[in-house]
Amino acid sequence: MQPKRILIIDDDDDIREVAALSLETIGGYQVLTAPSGSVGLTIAVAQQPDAILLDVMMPDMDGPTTFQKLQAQPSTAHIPVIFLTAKVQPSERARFAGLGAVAVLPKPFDPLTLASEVANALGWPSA
Amino acid sequence: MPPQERRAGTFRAATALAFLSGMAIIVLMGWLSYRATTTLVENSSWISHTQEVLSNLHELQSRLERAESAQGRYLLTGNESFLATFQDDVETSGVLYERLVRLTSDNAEQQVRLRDLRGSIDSKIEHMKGTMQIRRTAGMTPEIQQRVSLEGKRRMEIIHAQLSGMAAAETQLLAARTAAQRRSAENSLRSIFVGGILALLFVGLAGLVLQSDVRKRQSVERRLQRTTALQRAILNSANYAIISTGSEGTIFSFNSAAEQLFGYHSSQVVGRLTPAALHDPVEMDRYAEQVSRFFGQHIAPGFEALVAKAKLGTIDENEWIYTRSDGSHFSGLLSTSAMHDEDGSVTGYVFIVSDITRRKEAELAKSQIERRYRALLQNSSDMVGIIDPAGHLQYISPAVERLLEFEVQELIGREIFDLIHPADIDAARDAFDEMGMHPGYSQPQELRLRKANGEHVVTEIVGNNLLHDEVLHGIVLNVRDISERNRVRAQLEVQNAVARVLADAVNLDQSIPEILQALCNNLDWELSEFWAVDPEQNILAFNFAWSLPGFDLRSFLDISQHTRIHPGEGLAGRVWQRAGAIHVADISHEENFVRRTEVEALSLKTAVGFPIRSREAVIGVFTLFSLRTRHVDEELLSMLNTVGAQIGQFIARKRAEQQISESEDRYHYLFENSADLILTFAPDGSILHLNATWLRTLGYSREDLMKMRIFDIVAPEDQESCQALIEHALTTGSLNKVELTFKTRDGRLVIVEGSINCRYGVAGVEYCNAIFQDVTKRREVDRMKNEFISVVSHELRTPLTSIRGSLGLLAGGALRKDPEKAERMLDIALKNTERLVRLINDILDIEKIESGKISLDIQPLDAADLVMQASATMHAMADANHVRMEVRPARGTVYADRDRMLQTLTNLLSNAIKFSPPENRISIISEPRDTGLLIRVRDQGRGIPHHKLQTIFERFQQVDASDSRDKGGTGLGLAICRSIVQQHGGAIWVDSTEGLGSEFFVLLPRFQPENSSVLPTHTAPNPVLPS
Repeated sequence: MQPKRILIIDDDDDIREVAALSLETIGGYQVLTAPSGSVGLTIAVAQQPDAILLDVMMPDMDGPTTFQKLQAQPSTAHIPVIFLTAKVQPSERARFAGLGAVAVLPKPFDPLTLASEVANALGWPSA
Repeated sequence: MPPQERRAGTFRAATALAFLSGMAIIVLMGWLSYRATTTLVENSSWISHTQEVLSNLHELQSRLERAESAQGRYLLTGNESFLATFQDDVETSGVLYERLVRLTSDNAEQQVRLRDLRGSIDSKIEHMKGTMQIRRTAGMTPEIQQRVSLEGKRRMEIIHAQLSGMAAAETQLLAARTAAQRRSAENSLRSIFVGGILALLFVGLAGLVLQSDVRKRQSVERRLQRTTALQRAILNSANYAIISTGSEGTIFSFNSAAEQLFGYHSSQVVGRLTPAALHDPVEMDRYAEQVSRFFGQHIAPGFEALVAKAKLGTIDENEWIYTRSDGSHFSGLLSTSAMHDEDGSVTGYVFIVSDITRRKEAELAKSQIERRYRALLQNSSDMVGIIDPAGHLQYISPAVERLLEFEVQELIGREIFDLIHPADIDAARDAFDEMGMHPGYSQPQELRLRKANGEHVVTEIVGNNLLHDEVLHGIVLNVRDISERNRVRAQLEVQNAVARVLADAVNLDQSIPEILQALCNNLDWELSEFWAVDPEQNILAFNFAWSLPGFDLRSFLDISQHTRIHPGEGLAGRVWQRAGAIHVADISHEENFVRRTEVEALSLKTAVGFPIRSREAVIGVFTLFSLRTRHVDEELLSMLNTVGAQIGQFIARKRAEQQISESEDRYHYLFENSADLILTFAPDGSILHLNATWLRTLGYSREDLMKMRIFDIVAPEDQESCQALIEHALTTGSLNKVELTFKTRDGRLVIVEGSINCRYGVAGVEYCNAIFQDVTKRREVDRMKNEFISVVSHELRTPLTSIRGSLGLLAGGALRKDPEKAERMLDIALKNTERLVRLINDILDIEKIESGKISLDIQPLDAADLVMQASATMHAMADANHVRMEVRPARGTVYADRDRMLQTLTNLLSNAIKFSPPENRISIISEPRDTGLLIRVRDQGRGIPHHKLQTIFERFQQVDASDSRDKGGTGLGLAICRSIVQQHGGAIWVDSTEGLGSEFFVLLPRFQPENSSVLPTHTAPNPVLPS
């Protein structure tokens, strides 16, 4: 069976790298990464990942805008999105959840449990 | 016999004769009528008797014929049924025959005929029976039949003849009787007719006589009625009650006036009472005693007593108290007279009563007025005297005994001038001369009159010239003692004078001299002074003294200034201790007197002192001195106490006013200068009062706001909640933690927090007080703080995420089999740890600078050296990045903190290097300007987008967040630069064109250039000043 493919969109290279390594190593997922919203949109359309981990605070196109564009495109509207953000105040988290994301996971995250948290949120069998 | 009675006798005889004649005729006519009627009845009986006889005769004949008929039929038919008919008719014939015998029993002729008829009938019946027997036995033969018929017919004819004879006899008898009766009736009718005519004649005659008499009587009666009505009208229209009685006392008449006066209706008294019943029994008893004495014999109270005198023919007049039907009383004048007949016998009495209540009341009132005037003269405090034109006293009222202590008799006949004070004599003569010349009242004249003991009393005399009055022929003098009035007036004047002084006074100290002067002038004392209580030392200290001219007060004042009076010491000390007015009648004999020598040196004899009491405490003492030995009475002391209290009240009021004024000032100051927004509004929202903070906050003038309602200044989006809040406040009386948004004149929104409290009057809420704090800035700060926390939190969490993630993977052992990745993770952890440290340092740094926790060490620095040092520091980095750096420093002295300015310049240079592609050039140039030293750092990098120019100096507002990772920045560098420059009083701004590069400007104001070494200047193109 082909492993699930997850697209990580985050402008911070280090976080992208750590998160990808965590999901690949611990979760056994196949990980795609994008350093910005616009690149992420292109990859999403082209690669049709099974889920997207989306940062919120990004220059040019922030997370919520990227999310809305994903939702607006028929080819990506069906892809579940999880916000992964350092904006952790309750009001902020409520705002992101209200946009229609599957879950909002906080930064910093535990690299050993990130994969299972993602799986739980998406209803996938635990890695 | 009187003619009237004779006429009456003739009249009675005539009418009696006519009446008796008429009656006799009527009796005769009655008898005749009786007879005629009896005859008629008798005849009628005969007629019916005859008719009955005839009827029976006819019936008998008929029966016999029927029997014959039945016989004949039997004979012919032999039918037995005819026998029964025959038998029946035969029997009936017998009965009829017997009846005829009875009917004609009184007629002998008829009885004879009846006997004959009997034989004929019997014969006939025998014949018929015999024939029928033959028929039955032998049958019918023609022969027999013939024989029978002839014989029967013959016998029947005999019977017919007999019956006819009887009927004829009976009819004849009836005709005879009827004729006799008619004759009798005709006689009776004639007699009745004649008698009726006669009776009518006699009755008509009597009627004529009667009619004549009735007419006469009616005429007399009408005359009598008219006379009676006239009399009654006269009686009833009289103003007097007129009561007539019989001789025994029963009331016959009671006129309208009597009804009104006594309250009885005539029907209640006429024939029922005697006039004595209307009298008061007690008064009646007294009157009876009086008349008994008069006549010398006992006369019983009641009607007898009432008429005792009138009975003798005199008219008796007395005043009585009468009782009305309703129990009320009135005074009446009763006039009683007797009525006599022709013989002189008393037939009755007439009582005439007039109401004299008003006259009595008037008499009573007059006597009371007289008594009152007499009492007035006797008891009046005013004295009344009458003098003749020469001034001699003709009359003087008893009041003189009280006023001047003379006996009345001592003064009668004496000249009025003997009583007048010598000093007033001239004025008195002028006044009396004036009085003598003008009739009527004179002007009041104040004169002193001598008393019996030689003292004088001040009086006011008003004269009334009545010289032309025939009875008085003098001048009436009204003399009034006004010494008390003058004294009271003087005291009132003192109080008024003090009140006037106090009314205009600002405080007590300023008004003391005027009060002292007013006391002396109005009470006729020569020297006055005021001593003030010193509560701390518990002594009286001299304050001020005032005297009439002519006193040398130098040594008196000198000693007074240095005198300290303790409680109970001297006059003032005793007044203070007692808290009441005290006087010293003779200073020379007073042991306890301070400054005796000085006072006696001024020849002062009498002293009086009184306290000023304010709120139960004595705060000062006034003392008055007189050159004369004066009698000081309790009333003067009381008045002085009143003046003292008056001044005390003034002081208390002034103090209260001052306190209120100060309090008002304080509150007004607080109100106007409070940072809070304070507002009073009416229940309908109208603004009643507000402080100046509103004007500053909203930008309206006070006049504008006073015309508005609170809703006019509330932001449109808050209107509904404002309305609800105010309604809630009006209902509950108060409301705390109110939050509202107001709109300023220029459209800004002002957020306030506070409370509303309503004040109630009789008709509910009168107004509401609202106190608000402007929390707009605080809200903005809160918002910014929250945003900052959010940003800082995000910025701290970002490197932490990498650190936590990489170390987590390592620690979890996930990378044990992949050393390269493990090493990579360690690098990431380390790099982000350093970034985190920088970030924390920068955050702390900017916080310290902005909060002023770091004080700048401003020193005079060599400007060129500063720029050179900064560039030297960055040379290594520039080299590493292959960037060339141009440095052109200006010479001069700049006043700045070396380390902080180096931090700023290296930061700007670092940015320039970081954002410059390799082989590019950056420059740092400083130039003197009029406003200070301008330092420019320019690069040829990617430039800054236009929309970022405004925010580039804000925290975490770097153009690209990833720059902070790529370029090792924290996003706080420019914010720190701005803070440092601003702390130096300088400015920092940027000019940039995207794609071409940026130029940052720093202007330090405290700069002293070196003229010779000024480098060519470069003008910053329209510098953008940070907001």
